[in-house]
Amino acid sequence: MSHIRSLGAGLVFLAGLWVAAACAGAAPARAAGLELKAQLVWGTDDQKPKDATFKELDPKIKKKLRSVFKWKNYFEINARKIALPGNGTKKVRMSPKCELELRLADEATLEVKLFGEGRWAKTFRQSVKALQQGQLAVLAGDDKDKYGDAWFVIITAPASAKP
Amino acid sequence: MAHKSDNSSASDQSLVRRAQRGDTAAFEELVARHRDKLYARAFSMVRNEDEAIDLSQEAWVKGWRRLKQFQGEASFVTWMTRIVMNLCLDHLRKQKRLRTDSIEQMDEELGGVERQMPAVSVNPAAGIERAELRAQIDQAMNQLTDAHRTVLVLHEFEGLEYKEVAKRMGCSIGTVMSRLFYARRRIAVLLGGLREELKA
Amino acid sequence: MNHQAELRLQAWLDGELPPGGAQAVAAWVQRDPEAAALARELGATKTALLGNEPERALPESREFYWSKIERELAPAEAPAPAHGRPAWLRGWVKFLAPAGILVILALLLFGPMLRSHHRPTLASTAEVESPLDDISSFTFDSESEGMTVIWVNTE
Repeated sequence: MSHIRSLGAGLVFLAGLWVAAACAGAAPARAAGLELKAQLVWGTDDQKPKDATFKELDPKIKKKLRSVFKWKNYFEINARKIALPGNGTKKVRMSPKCELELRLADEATLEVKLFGEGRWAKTFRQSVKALQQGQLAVLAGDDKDKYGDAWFVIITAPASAKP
Repeated sequence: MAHKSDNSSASDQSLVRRAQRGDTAAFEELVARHRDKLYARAFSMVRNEDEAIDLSQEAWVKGWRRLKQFQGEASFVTWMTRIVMNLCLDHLRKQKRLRTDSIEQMDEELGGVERQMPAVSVNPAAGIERAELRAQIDQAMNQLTDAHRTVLVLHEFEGLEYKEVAKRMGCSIGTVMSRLFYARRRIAVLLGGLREELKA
Repeated sequence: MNHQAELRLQAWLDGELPPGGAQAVAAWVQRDPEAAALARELGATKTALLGNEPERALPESREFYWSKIERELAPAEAPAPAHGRPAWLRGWVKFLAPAGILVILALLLFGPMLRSHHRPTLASTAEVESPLDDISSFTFDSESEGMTVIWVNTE
């Protein structure tokens, strides 16, 4: 019986090696990085002020926002391209009152921290795959400076970008 | 752990002692107190906002990891500025902005147009507010080469002797002296020029 | 004036000359107008720079700046488990070995079928943290517009 037990132990060991190798292959490898775009957008029913430098929002994104939110007009206040490294954090200042800290929590997950007026307000996670397939990740809130308006931070990933 | 309000009234010494025992809130207070100074020093060296922010943060992390080695031989902020200076020097070397090959060294040692100019007689500090002088110095430093700016920061702001500057920059004392000489001459010309602009 | 003389004059101003050398340069500056002018210029520049390093405010909020530092200060990972199995575990392994073979074989055969039922959804967004009491939020997904929205409420 002892030789059968030894054989069994040996088989378990080999099978365990195989499973471990399969798991290692499936385990999240360190992400290579991700190209993103972050846009700070103002939602309002007002027309664009004459002396303002901000741009009209991309029509496709504007259409999406209009489908979900009530405001008529959406203006891009600031846009930043972000080359997010596979490991490490990227910080982006969208405005004096709005800062983002982004990192890849793992190969499949983008983590974003929102800082409003210097305070850490929110952390959320978004599927990288979803972003790359065109999903928009949107943080939004009431505009404290102008009653009735809203701010949006829209994070997108260009279609060709891969982690 | 001490409350944030306790930390804000504590001395640097007391905060360092607490931080050495692992109190991150105490260390955070030290960061908050001295972050502008460290950032300003990094910016003086690298003249790039993002790089200066990253380098200053790296310095804080390094400071935390080495905190037990800090014995109070200098002030805490002096100790930290030494750390950020070294990181900036490494950064500039990696970017090859501090050239060490002989041709560029020779150019710096021979000096530019200042070599041909007589001594500037305008006293740059006379009759202007300190804030204005600092702004002019900042503007002037922006126009120096990395090597000239580095030697100026190490000698004039950090207060290092020639041999210590040479050690940090990885060059000879003679090179340090030449770079410092031409950096000062250039600053004198630039500050003199800025004063003329203001008068106009 | 040659360059070496210029550098000696500078070294005298910076206190880098030995006493004998310093006296010689001081005497030279006294009698030579060109040396005196250069000494005045270098001295004025040195004085202007002294204590007037440009100040600069960090263009990031306190918390934002600290957040990245804090992340790097996180304690080291737990030590790796010790090598070698304790004796009690060795006994169990021998006992469970035959059953273990069967389980592994079952996984190999049936595993792919199990995985296919657990594809992650596209709009998989999870709100992780809301650190402040006076800031709440709600999250919604708009499948039709391909959008995940986190609406942040500040009270």
